[in-house]
Amino acid sequence: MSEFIWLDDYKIGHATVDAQHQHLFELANKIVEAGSSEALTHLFMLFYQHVREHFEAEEQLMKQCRYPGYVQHISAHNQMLEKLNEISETIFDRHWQPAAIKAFVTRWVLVHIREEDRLMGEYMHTLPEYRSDTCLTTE
Amino acid sequence: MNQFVWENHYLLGNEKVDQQHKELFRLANRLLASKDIHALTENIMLLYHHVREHFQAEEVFMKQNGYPEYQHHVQTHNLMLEKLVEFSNDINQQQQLEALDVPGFMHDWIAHIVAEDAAINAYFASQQEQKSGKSLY
Repeated sequence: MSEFIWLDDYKIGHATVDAQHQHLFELANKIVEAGSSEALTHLFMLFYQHVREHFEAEEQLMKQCRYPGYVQHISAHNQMLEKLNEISETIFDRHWQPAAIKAFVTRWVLVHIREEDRLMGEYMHTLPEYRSDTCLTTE
Repeated sequence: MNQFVWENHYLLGNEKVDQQHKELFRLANRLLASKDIHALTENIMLLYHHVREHFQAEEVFMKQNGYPEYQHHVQTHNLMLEKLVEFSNDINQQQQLEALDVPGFMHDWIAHIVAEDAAINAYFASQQEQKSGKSLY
């Protein structure tokens, strides 16, 4: 049974963002199930890379949409990247605890998706140009 | 003997960045010197950690200072990070060190330093010159 279960309730109504969130859940599950330190190292690096690219995509989107909460949202992203950095140190030092990834996903990722990403989604839905897979504004 | 040798023409004149670049050379050599899978696993994580931190520092700088080529530069960073993630997968699949194209990665990264990182320097240097030029009139 997977540790992290994706629920439709987590969707913010933007196809790309929702797909990326779901993918991060899948990767997080693989991390906690990793059977060796080589697998754990690889999966964690993959996870970090996907988190990084996902944040970049969201930040691009927010900028295109001129989202007023842009600065605070980026600050939350940076805090989460810092948190991931801390976890990666523990993997390197071999003091890794699966509980750390569990805490990261439940206390950071889920809270961020359900609060900050949801607000971002709600704002995008108010835009006249909004489509469910992008955010284009006329210049 | 080290495979990757630092040369002075890689210097950009920014002490912090130059130190980080030198450190990455050291870590790449360390990866190449890995004797077993345990060392490979540790050293790829170490290299990834430093490359990622270094890229993050560069990106924060570019973003804060409005560098026009920011998006493109980040994309090249992502490609290099993805290469490192591929290496970690190869290690996990029990590939030998020789199967990882570390020289290829370093070659691309050195080219990145002397072209794209140097371009950041050149851009902001010319901005400075323009500003000081204006103040003369």
